Amino acid sequence: MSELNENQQTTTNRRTFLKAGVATASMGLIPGVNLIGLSQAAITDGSAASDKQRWGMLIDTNKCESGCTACVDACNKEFNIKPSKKPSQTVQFIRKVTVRHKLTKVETSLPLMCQHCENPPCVDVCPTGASMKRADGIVKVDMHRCIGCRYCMMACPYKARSFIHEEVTEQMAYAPRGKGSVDSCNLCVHRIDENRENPRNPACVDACNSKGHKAMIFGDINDLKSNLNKALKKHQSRELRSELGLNTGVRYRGI
Amino acid sequence: MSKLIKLFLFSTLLALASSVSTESAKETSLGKLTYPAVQGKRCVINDTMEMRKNHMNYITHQRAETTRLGKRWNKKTHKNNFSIEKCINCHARDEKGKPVKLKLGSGKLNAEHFCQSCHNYTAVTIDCFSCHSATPTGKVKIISKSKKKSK
Ligand code: HEC
Ligand code: HEC
Ligand code: HEC
Repeated sequence: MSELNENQQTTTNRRTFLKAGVATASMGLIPGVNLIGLSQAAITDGSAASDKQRWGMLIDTNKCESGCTACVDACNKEFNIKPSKKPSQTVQFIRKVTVRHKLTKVETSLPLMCQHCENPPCVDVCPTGASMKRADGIVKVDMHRCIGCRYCMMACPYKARSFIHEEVTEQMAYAPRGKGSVDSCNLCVHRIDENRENPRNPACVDACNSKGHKAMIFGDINDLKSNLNKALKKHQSRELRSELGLNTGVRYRGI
Repeated sequence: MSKLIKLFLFSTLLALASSVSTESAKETSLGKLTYPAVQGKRCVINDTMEMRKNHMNYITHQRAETTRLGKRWNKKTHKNNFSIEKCINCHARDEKGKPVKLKLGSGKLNAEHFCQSCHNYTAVTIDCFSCHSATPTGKVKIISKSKKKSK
C-alpha cells in the first residue's frame, strides 16, 4: 500500500518538476527575469533543508546581563514548557550559566543551549537514529524514533538536553512534544522553515533584542551577507569546550 | 498482506454501515463522519474514500519528510499538505466551527473528535496526540453542512 503511495508521490513530483522546468525555460527567454528570484522561491516554499546553509549564533557575553532571564522565559513560552512537579526534572532548552575564571575570579553570565555541533556526540551514541543533524546543521531529536534511553544526554558535554518526565498538555501546534522522549533546543526550526531565505530569529534572540541587550546574533554562517557572518569575521569568538573539536554552530564572545 | 485483509474487512464494514445508516444517519458515528464540519470544500486529497483508506500512509510519509528533511507545511504555498497540524485545523471542529477537544478531563478520549470517532469504531489506537496538539489553532472559514449540500 505504502509503496503505491510513494510511487504516486514521485510521479506527481516529477510532473511538477517538469512543469517547473518548462516554466524556467520559457522565462529564460524573457529578458530581465533574474534567476535569484527563482532560487529564493525554492528555499521558502517548503522544500528540504539544504547543506548550503548552516545555522548558528554569536553570543556576546559582555552584553549579557547576569540575572536577566528574558531568553529563557521566551523559550519556555515558545514551546509552552511548564515547571515540573520535581523542580530538578523541569525541561530546559536554554539556561543561564555563570562561569568564573579560576585565576582572575572574573564572573561571566551566559545563556547555554544546544551548541549545534558539526560533529555532535549525541548523534554518535543514539541507538535508533532519533538524535539527528539536519542538512543545515540543526541538531535535534526526531521524537518519532526516540525511545527515551537518554544516551544522548550523557554524551552531551554541554548538558543541553532534557528528558520529558511528565505528560505534556497544551503543546503548541507547531512544536509537538511529549512524555518519554528527549527534547532540546532546535533553534526554533519551525520559525526557520517558514522562510529559510530570511528567517525569523529564534524566540530567545528576539527576547534579548527586545530587552535592548542585543547580545545574541542569529543567522546563516555560510551566507556572506548575513549579520552573523559579518560579525564572526569582525570579532574574535570562541567555542565552548573547543578542545573537543566539535565545531559548534553557537559561538561566544568575551570569554 | 494482513493490512490488506484488514482494509478489505474495514471497507466492507463501512459499506454495510453506510447502507444501514441511510435510515438512522445521525445515530451512528460514521453518519457524522460523512459530513464533518470542515474548512474548505475538499480534503487534502479530493477523494474521501482514498483518505478513508490511506490517510495513515500519507501522514506517516509526511512525518519523515518534515522531521528528517525539513519539508514543512508552509502556510502560504500549501506544499507538504499532509501535516497533522493541518488535518486538525480542518477536522477537529464541531458544526459551528468551534474547536473540539480530544482529551476530556478524566483522561478519557472524546468520541466526538473526528479522528477519535472513527478510530473508536475501528478499534485503532494512535499515540500521536500525546505529543501533537489535537485542537485547532488557526482560524477557518466554515462551510456548513447545509451550504455543502446545496452545492
Ligand atoms: C514523542 C512525541 C511524538 C509522537 C508520539 C508523535 N510525534 Fe509527530 N512530531 C513530533 C515532533 C517533536 C515533531 C516536529 C519535528 C520538527 O519540528 O522537526 C513532529 C512532527 C510530525 C509531523 C510533521 C509536522 C506536522 O505538523 O505535520 C507529522 C506529519 C507527524 N509528526 C506525524 C505523527 C504521527 C502520524 C504520529 C502518530 C503515529 C506522531 N507524529 C507521533 C513528536 C511526536
Ligand atoms: C481543507 C480542509 C481539510 C484538511 C486540511 C484535511 N481535510 Fe480531511 N476532509 C475534508 C473534507 C471536506 C472531507 C470530505 C468529507 C465528505 O466527503 O463528506 C474530508 C475527509 C476526510 C476523511 C474521510 C472521512 C470519511 O467520511 O470517511 C479522512 C479520513 C480525512 N479527511 C483525514 C484527513 C487527514 C489525515 C488530514 C491531514 C493530512 C486531512 N483530512 C486534512 C477536509 C479537510
Ligand atoms: C474513516 C475512519 C477514520 C478516520 C476519520 C480517521 N482514521 Fe486513522 N485510521 C483508520 C483506520 C481503519 C486505521 C487502521 C488501518 C490499518 O491498520 O491498516 C487508521 C490508522 C491510522 C494511523 C496509523 C496507526 C498505526 O498504528 O499504524 C494513524 C497515524 C491515523 N489513523 C491517524 C488519523 C488521524 C490523525 C485522523 C484525524 C485527522 C484519522 N486517522 C482519522 C480510520 C480512520
